[in-house]
Amino acid sequence: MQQSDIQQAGIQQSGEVLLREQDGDILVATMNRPERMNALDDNLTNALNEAWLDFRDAPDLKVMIITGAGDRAFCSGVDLRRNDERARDLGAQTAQAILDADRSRGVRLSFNGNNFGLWKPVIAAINGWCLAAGCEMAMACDLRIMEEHAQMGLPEVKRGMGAKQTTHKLYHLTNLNIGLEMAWTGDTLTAQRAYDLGLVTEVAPKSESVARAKELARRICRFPSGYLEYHKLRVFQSLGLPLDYGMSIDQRFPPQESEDYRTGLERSLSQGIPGGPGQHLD
Amino acid sequence: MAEIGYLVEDRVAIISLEAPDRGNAFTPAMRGELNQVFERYRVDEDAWVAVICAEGPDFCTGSEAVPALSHGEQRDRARYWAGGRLDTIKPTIAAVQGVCRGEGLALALGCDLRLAGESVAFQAGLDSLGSGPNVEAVWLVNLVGLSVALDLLWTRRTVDAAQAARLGLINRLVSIDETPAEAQPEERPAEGRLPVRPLGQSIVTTDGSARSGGIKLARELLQYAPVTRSFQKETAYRSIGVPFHYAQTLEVGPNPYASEDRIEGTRAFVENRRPVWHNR
Repeated sequence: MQQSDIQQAGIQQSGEVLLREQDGDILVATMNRPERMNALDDNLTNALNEAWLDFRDAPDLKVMIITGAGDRAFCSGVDLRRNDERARDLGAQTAQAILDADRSRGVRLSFNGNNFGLWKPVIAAINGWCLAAGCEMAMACDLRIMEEHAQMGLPEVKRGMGAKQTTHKLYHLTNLNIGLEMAWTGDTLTAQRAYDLGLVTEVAPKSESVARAKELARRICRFPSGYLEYHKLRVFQSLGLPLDYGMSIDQRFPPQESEDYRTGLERSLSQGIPGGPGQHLD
Repeated sequence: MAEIGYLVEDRVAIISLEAPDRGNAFTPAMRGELNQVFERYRVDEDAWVAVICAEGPDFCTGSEAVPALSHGEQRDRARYWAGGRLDTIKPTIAAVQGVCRGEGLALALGCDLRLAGESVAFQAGLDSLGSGPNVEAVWLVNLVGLSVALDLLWTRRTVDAAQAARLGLINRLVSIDETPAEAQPEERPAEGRLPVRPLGQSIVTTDGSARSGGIKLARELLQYAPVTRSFQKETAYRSIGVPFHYAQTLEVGPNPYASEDRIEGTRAFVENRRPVWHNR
């Protein structure tokens, strides 16, 4: 696996807070702070940033699955105890001062805001509580599979925070109605409600979301990477554009014309695609 | 002759249509009044959430037939069809019962959240005047999707409460609380951290009226951070219909992370108590 920019820059990393397992062309990353409901502290955030970059740049990896250790939580968000301690340590009188101190630590990667061009598919295997920044991470993924006992939501409104990186995506994943109600009440979606609203593609039995996500990933992996990235890029390029303009976006480098893409796709198609597209949506 | 009521109780503004004798059908005068009331809510620092409701069995049956409107009257009409939501970043909740069509539907769709009583009958499409609100299609596409929007507009079929909930046209269905008085949980002062709980699809009140449901939801929202609410509303409406990548970079509305309430919210969580919000 490639060394990431972050690792080369010598930023502290911990191999333990994020477990990585490679299964063929699938990377499974497991957030591993189960005693804190996999809450995000600096170590875990850095380890995640490193993993996204490694995945983006690794030619042998096609799909990434992100999940949480244990059966309680996928990720409960940013570690609020740590945040409060930092506010006290800073002796900060204003939230602006905390914000400035955070910003002075430098520009950070944002998976949630996809500011580093990751166009390969990422699947969230939501194995338990999926809250706040954890819910944002799941929403920033392309596909979501949720275990039946899990719940997802944005409780930021209960803490005076904002879920700023993915709020806009919530309205695409649900609608203005439900999106605003979720944002304003901070109430959660059960797995069934999330499925009914189309936020997750599948409800999995307890402890089986990763297995299901791998099954889905294997189906996706039959196609060449260029094909997968092309469609993700196309969706986000056209989302929110006037419809006729979206249709007419000039494709200067259509992937169909690349040799890799054509031979890859021919190989995929000649092998037959058992199950056919969209079956996991049943 | 006031036909639009405005009342503020414990930070909830109750805006009501008060012309039940004609099904709250709009007249030019009533439109002007409604716009004034929306403006009053926008600047009222004591009002943090508004409920828009109506007297009588029907929320609003549409418009009174009038001869040609003046330019000013047309502008008044267009303004609240946009729901007052373009005027304020504070929440507006429509509490709807009975018939809701024409301009009444435009008003309900223009609010941020919608609750409906069991009796609700939504109807989209032009009314008999042949001059229905031209914003229905715009809201419906965003709320229920393209195919359902066209279905509702072209067939003009009536949508009852259960269908409205299924289609995503309303947030909650209001019904009568059937729990006998002696089995009601004792009223206790709220303590501890704000609980995390699943998003409801219904709301029960003593009389099951849309208005009472709206007030109950408004009070629920008041437990939560007002700066965050304003930020969320601004982000929602400014991110729909713009390129996704552009929406991702928007910095609109107040930044909750720079608010005093953010420190309080985190501290209340850590100290296991209810937060006290100052809206700054």
